[in-house]
Amino acid sequence: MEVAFVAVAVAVATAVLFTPYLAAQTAGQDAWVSVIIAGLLTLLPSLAAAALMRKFPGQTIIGALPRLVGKVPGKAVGLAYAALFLFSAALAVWRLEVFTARFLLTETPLIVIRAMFLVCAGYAAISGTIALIRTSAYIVPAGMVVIFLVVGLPLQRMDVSLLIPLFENGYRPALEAGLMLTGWLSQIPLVILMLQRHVSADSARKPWSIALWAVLLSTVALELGAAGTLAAFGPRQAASMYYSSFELTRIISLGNFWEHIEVIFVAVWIAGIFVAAAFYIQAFNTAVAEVLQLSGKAGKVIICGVTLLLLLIWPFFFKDLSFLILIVVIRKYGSQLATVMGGILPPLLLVLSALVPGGKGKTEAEGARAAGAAGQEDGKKAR
Amino acid sequence: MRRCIALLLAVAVLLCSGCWSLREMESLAYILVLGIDLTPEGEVELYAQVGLPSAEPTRGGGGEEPVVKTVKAKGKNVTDALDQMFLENTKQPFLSHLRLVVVSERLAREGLERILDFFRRDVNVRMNIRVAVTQDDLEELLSVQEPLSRQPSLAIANQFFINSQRAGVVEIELMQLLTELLEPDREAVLPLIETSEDRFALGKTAVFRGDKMAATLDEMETFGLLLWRNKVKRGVVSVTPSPGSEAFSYRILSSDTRITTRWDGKKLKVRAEVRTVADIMEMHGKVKGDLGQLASRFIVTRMEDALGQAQRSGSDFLGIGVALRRQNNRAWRELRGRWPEVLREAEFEILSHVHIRGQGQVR
Repeated sequence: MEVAFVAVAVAVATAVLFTPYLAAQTAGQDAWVSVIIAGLLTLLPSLAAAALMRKFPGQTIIGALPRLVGKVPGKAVGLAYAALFLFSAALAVWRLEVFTARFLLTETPLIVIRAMFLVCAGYAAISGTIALIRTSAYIVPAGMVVIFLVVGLPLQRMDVSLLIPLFENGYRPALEAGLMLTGWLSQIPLVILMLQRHVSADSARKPWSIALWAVLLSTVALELGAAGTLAAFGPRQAASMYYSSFELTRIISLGNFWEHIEVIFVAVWIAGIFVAAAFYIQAFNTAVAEVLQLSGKAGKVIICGVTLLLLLIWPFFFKDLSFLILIVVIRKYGSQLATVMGGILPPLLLVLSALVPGGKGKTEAEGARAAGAAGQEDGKKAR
Repeated sequence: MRRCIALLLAVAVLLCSGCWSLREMESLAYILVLGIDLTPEGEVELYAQVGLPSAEPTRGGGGEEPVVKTVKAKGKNVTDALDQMFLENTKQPFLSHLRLVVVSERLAREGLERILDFFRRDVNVRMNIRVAVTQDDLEELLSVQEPLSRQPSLAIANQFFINSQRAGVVEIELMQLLTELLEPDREAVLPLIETSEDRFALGKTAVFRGDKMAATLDEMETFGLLLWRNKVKRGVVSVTPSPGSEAFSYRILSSDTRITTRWDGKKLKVRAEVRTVADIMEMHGKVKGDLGQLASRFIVTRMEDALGQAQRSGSDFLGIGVALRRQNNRAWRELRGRWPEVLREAEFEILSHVHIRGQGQVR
């Protein structure tokens, strides 16, 4: 369940701020339906990822790929996953940086915000997966409570008639938005591909439960955000507000007295985006180490250091970076790459693992040893 | 290694605690009410009612002095005018605690679009601030010293709250105004705020066509508007059965309005049905006629009054388009281009059922 919590933290923290805006732009009042479509579409790859990694106990997808598709293609696909993890880490840091500069620390130089955040995320990444898994176990339940409060408290300001009529412009906009949102939820299979090695053998017998819970919780969280913003602001206004879900927290007013409580949302979101960034940094480090067959702590620390440096300095190579470019990059590249690598590849690899005789994973005994090693490396095993 | 990183983090937290974005409380002018007008030259004129911190050392704290001060500035647009305010003040204008925006009638008739872009972009402004229109001079309005409350913005907020509970006023927040301006099936309404001797007066409503103010509704028409919009939850209504007879009053316990629309290819047919549960509050002698029917007649008349204004102004502020869009989307898309004409020619049936539940708190 704790691995499911990491998946939820990663998917929801990266999606909750911008997806209401992007979905409303594409689908208007049907945006809330598109979240359900995305949830349904993500279910299959998430289950496939869990079933696939069950065949490779104690391993990440990077370690399993050479067995599945051959040594060279396996390393190539592994590097593609590593590139996606680095790209996603950069996007997570960029999101936090932009949000902080816009709402919290308006005068603070971006490089300072980025450096501070990277030091924390880097420290978490190098502390091992268990630290992240444990952190998520606290953040996700708190985050779900906050999301329910954020949507529930301004309920009397909402107008549910703004959620209908459905499919006014046909089914296509809702489907398009659903496909786009699948990019965010496709991070769930990515987390499973990298972290299921920490699931104990008993839990691994029910691989579907992690996937199912992760998709269900993430879809509920995003659905509440999408429906809440649409009912509060209307589809056209929501389609013109980048941070409509954050604005929802800012309109909470109980008896003209209990106001300005958005700090609760901000705290949970920053914790969530911290987990997302730390997960991607760690996943990149693991992927590179496995592709290059590096072992030992020193190698991993060096890779982590280089990763943090890259994440710190890359904006200096792009002079015209702006908030709008972030939105375009997230929508055009971030979402689509995650859909391909997290949404399309896992089912294909699962089919391949069933078809290719060499695609059988380790034996039970080998798997148990490897799982033990993974657990030992990170301190102790997750449930 | 871990200890080094932990130490580095601890030191960083101490050294990098955000002095860059420092905003000292004493250096900020907390704008609570913002009045916006247009000058004859077409410039935007701002009147900012700023809260004065009672703990400020130069102030006596005797309780007699006003706790707010109004400052004004002019500019090409809202941003420019606010920027001018910086030049003329010792404190930085700060909008995060803004509670009310009052727009002059002149600006409302010119169009709200001119000022709304600023409010949509500025992250300090919250979307739940109230918006109102005034036909009075803004400077005079903001100089009213409400006798029952020393803090005008709080007084107005309370006044809105109390009166919206008793179906006496439309209460519109910025987010709702923007929704009504942006959604294609809605028209905006805003409360009118006036000065009455030493206090504020609410009850009338400004209605818009697009972003321009088109007409005003009096108190009775405003009640009709609230009935159409299904916003009446509580309130007291006094009915005079016939000229010269004594009025009886009833208290609304609940009210529900259902609008159904039908397009027969030539004419739009609208049926509005209001179901009200009420309790008698005051009645002198014997009232001729059925109380429920008399109360129903009153409700129907108020709704007809509001409807008349909607048809005359060509603004569907009652929400008939909202109903048609959801009930017959194809017809709505066909008719939306000539909606004011359709609305004028539509056939209306307004029904009211008042159930008198009790005889009031008779002891």
